[in-house]
Parts: sequence; C-alpha cells; structure tokens
Amino acid sequence: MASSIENNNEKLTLKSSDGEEFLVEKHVALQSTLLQNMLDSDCSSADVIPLPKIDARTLALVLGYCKKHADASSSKQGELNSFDSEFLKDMDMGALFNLVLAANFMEIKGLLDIAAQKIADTIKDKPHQEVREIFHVENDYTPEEEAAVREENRWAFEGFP
Amino acid sequence: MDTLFELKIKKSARSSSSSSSPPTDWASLPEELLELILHHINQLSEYLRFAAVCKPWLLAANHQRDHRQREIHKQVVPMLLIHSPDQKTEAKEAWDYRRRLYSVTENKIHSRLELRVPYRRRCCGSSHGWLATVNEEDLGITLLNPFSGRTLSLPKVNRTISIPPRDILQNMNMTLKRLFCHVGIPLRMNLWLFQFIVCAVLWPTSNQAAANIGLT
Repeated sequence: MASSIENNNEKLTLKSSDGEEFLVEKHVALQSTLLQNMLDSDCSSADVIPLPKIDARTLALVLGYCKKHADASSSKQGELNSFDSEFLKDMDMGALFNLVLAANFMEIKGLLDIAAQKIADTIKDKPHQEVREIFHVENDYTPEEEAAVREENRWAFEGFP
Repeated sequence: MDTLFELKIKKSARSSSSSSSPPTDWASLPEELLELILHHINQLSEYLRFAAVCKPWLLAANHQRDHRQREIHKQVVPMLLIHSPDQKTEAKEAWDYRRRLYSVTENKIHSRLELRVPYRRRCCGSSHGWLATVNEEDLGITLLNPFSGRTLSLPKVNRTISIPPRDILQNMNMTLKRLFCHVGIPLRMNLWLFQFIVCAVLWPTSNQAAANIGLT
C-alpha cells in the first residue's frame, strides 16, 4: 500500500458533460486506458480533463468502480468479484446504457466486460419481444420481415411466443 | 462506501438523482459494443433470437456471424436428430421420415419443429448445420441443410481408389492428399482462385474411398 500513498498526492480533475468536476487520485484514473494514454502523452497538463460524453451520475459510478479496483490488492480477487456482481445488480437499463458507453469511451476493459455480461444475461432466455420492451428498442421489422427471420431459424424460437 | 472522490465544484441545484435519465437508444449502440455483448452469448438459439430484436442488432449479428458461429459450433454440443414418434409406421414414403431435434445440453426435445431428412441416404457427416448424405448406389454426395431444406448436390466426379487401411486410420491428411491426386487436382495449383467443396467417403472395411469435388 506504500506506493498508493505516494500516488495519492497526485490528483487530477475530470469534468462531466453537465459541468460537475471530480477530483480523482491518479492511480484511480489509471484504470482508464484513455486517461492513462493522456497522462503518458502529457496531455494532462491542462487543469481539468473534460469528458463531454459522460454525465455526472455516470461518471460517479465509473469512478466508484475504478477506485475499488485500483485500491484492491491482487489477493482480494474474491472480494473484487463479489463487488463486481453487486455493482450492476439493481441498475436500471438507462444507467446501464450510459455506463457501457462511458466504459467504452474511457476504455475500462473490466467494467466494459461486466456490463456486457450483464446485458447478455438480461437478454438470455427471454423472447425477443420482451427484450424489445426491456431495452425500449423499437421494432423496425415489417411483420413479413420478422416472420422471415423467424422462419429461417424456426428451431431457435421453439417454445417462445 | 467511503468517500470516493471530492467534488470541487458542486452544482447543487440538480442532485444527480435523475431517475428519468435521458432517452436511451439501445438499437443505436455502436456495433463494437453489440459485438461485445454477443461475445457473452453462448447458445446459438439465443444468438439467433438476439438478431430478431431489430435490424441494427441483426446487422451486428450477421457481421460477425461467420467466425462467431464457428466458435459457437465448436463450443456447443451438436443436437441429435431423433424420430418423430407418430411417424414411424405411417410415413407416406419410406424416405420421407420426419425428425425432431433433441438438445443434449438443454435436455429438451424441440417437439413442435419437424425436419425432413431423407431416410434412404446414409448420413456420412455433418458440418456447420449441413448434413453430408451419400447415395450408396452411385456414390453421389448431397449436402442437405435440414433447417432451410436446401440441398447441394456435388457433381459426380468421384473416383474410387484403394487405400491401405493404416493410411485411413493413421493419417487422414495423407488420405486426403491421395484423393486430391487421384481426382486430378495438383496440390500446388492456385487453389485460392476457387472455392472447393471436397467430400470424401471412406470405407475402411474394403480399403476404398470416393471423393467428390465441386466448385462453389
């Protein structure tokens, strides 16, 4: 933990799309490949790093994840795993949507993976009509097109409405 | 959870409890993210239902379908073709047996789906959803996709050659090379100019093999 104390002295400021500023320890920010690259190439000399695509609510979540993972030593893998599974558990779909985009933009691989897993788990074992409702996806198939897609792989829709 | 970070400037007017978050458009999720989600889907049936949600999702699924389905095919235990119970005696034609699918992994019979699989031809292999069937009389090989019903008959350029049994058992590559040579395709020809389907039927008991080669 000695190294993280040393790093704690270095902080940087991130600014969300809606104008809130977050003061973050450098070793936490390094969980993001995007920020890491910016720091490496010394783009961080600016006082504030703007993240124009990420709102404050989402950025707070993302930084919470980064903080946990940056502070945990490798011996605490089990603890991290349970943190990960709790992290997205009761998240609403809107928040998850923003989170997955933010993780993609900031290049946080671990977060991106658990978010994608969560989305895939939500889709599994559900009829595609219900998936549309959950994700608020508009059905852009014509009835004929949809019937054709189903007919082509009829067995996969067996037991589904 | 302890304080994670300090807020230097607070915009106190709007606490970020916006439960009515801005509208989300999952259909327009960047394709790279849709592909990432698809990577976490392991059942082929789920994959196909994913594609039925909307067109952008279908596109994402199609774009990586080839290599992804190959991966899934590698992971997934193939389904078994089983008899439809009511068809055993009353099939109108002997070859017109209907089959059902049994998924070993899901322990489930796809009972409402019947596939027609010709009975008079021997099935000598399957790959990527296609069955290779062989007519024992003229050695003609027909590829059959039981889902789409499509068939693809390979031209009858078959040759029968004798192969030492140990070749068949010990070195399948060698056997195929021999078949190539016997059918007259030089191995060093510019094979990549054409796409070939090669099917070989081996009879280990009689040390005989037949190859069918078709241009696709």
